Amino acid sequence: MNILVCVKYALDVTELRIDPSSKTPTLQGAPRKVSDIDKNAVEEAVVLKEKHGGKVVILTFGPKEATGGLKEALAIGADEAYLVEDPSNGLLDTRATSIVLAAGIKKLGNFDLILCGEATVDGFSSQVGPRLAEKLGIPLLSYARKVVVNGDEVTVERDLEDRYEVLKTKLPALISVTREINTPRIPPLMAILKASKKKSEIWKVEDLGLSSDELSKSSSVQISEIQVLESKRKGVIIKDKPPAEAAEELVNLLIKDKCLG
Amino acid sequence: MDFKFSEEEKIFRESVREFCQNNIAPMWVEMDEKRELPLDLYKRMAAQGLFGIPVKPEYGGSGGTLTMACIALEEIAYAEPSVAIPVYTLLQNGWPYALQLFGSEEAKQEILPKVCDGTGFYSIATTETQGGSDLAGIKMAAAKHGDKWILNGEKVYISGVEEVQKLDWGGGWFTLVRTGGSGAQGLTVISVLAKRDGKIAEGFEPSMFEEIGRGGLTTGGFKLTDFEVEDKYRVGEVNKGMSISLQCFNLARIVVAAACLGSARWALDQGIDYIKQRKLFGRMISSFQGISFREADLYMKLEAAKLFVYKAAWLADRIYLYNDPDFSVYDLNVPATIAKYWVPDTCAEIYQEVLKWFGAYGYTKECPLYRGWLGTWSYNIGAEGAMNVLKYIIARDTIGKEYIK
Repeated sequence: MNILVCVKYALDVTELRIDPSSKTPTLQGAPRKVSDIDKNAVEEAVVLKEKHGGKVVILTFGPKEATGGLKEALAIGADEAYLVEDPSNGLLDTRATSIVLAAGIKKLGNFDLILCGEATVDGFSSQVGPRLAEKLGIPLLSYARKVVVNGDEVTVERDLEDRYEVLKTKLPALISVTREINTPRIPPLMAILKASKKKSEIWKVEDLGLSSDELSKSSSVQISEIQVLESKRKGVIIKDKPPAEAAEELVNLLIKDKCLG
Repeated sequence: MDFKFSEEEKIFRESVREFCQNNIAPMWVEMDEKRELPLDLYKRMAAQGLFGIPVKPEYGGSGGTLTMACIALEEIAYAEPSVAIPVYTLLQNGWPYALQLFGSEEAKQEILPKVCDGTGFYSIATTETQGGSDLAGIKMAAAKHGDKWILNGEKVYISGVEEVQKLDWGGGWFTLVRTGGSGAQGLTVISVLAKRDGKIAEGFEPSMFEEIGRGGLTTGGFKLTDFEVEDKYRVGEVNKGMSISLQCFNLARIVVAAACLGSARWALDQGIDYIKQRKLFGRMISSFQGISFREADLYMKLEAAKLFVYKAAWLADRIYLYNDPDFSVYDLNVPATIAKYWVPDTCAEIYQEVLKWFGAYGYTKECPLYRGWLGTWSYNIGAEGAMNVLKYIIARDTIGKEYIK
């Protein structure tokens, strides 16, 4: 069974530094990592490979430094990895991204399953997976918290928070997974060192028969500004009251602020 | 010149950090308090490839570098600042690496895979009751009888004495013994395996010390009485033990420094978090220059510590792994010694200052800082070189031996 996993070398949002005057994050030199939920997708692909055989191929669209992310995915157990270099320095939207990924998948051949994370930790649009399924003309099974392959069929549990659906379809299909589906393994050093010897290539969008200009034109959404949301604490301190009275006052304040009903 | 870690090194650091967050950070205070040996954890650490990092894959190791061993040790000590687990880990990297460099093929094939899979232990035993710094005064005697050595004598302040006896396979120490006349020229290294294939060897009599820190690691001693060792366990040539040991001490000093670096970085991070929250006289205490300027002093020293550790590790890899013709083994003396002096010294200074920032709370057992202070203090006393010995080495190599007598 051949599985392709789309990963993003996303901004590590927990490590972002904020410029205090403009309240915008400093993106230059900001640390990046394989988006957490994409790592779950890689882990799930490797688990399926271990069970059913075949190979796991990683595809990413991003900056040249994303080779670090590819190595991480290879260390988890993927077999090959491909990076399509982003000519726009991160300005293309999810529509253009899915055009690039679809072209990359077509160039790489036939896959039984395409896996994605349900969203990336930085943009969190949840759009690339569904768009990609549409472009490839295959069924989309989103928010999977469990994946079972049986012959040429796949069954997933689709997590809808208050309930879940069980969906079944014939392969090939595209599945977007949730964080809950598994715990990605921590690769030991030997797997990290072996990852460097696995097949890994960097392509340009032109290698996929695309052009930077056309991609810019098909990119319909532009990010004009990124602002940090400030959540200021109220700093209310209830002083010098016996516990019962202080609790009463606290409850009243919470009701007033609509925190309690 | 390139100050960037490679992609593999960065991924490895992240992987160790994640492993430590899941497995070590939640348990270290209790381990230290109850003085429990984390033997189950060591099985998981071995599976993660954290023992024998620079040991070649044909001996069961990961085939990494000494730089990678330092990265792992820095992260493990950040998660376990009392340094019991880091010390166990640095021993399980530095001394197996020494055996790989100088041991016989047969001994390497037997011992190294056991160390790497976590069922065995291999460390260092040089110190005797007369002191650890005076290696030339070592008394433990080894006499050759046919293909065997018969050992008699005593070693003290040796790490892992209880662990060796409890591990499934066993293990022992890279042990410096007297095979020739008096002085430094009569010494040979022999691997003393206290336990092999699950059986304690005859003639091995352990003793224990109770230390003031790093409760998750044992320190003891052992007495050997007519203890038989096959010649295949000799490490290097007969009567060349001193020069082999000095080279291996250089490697060990670097990994010791890496462990102290992790603990020191943790302590300073604790301090920085605290001074930004603690208020006195209506101000955060970080806003007093008496505090913030000390933070700046310590940060500079910690940054220097990082540079000393990784420069020495980089150089060790150039010499021992890549056989870089630009360097000789002697070039490592000063960088490795500076690292072993500077980092534990800085580490102690950071703990003592940060403990003051914490005030009375820092003096309570509720605050875990003192555990790191006591644990790392062992490296200010000795182990891989007492401070004055380290200064002597630096002075000897930079002024010239004939000028300092």
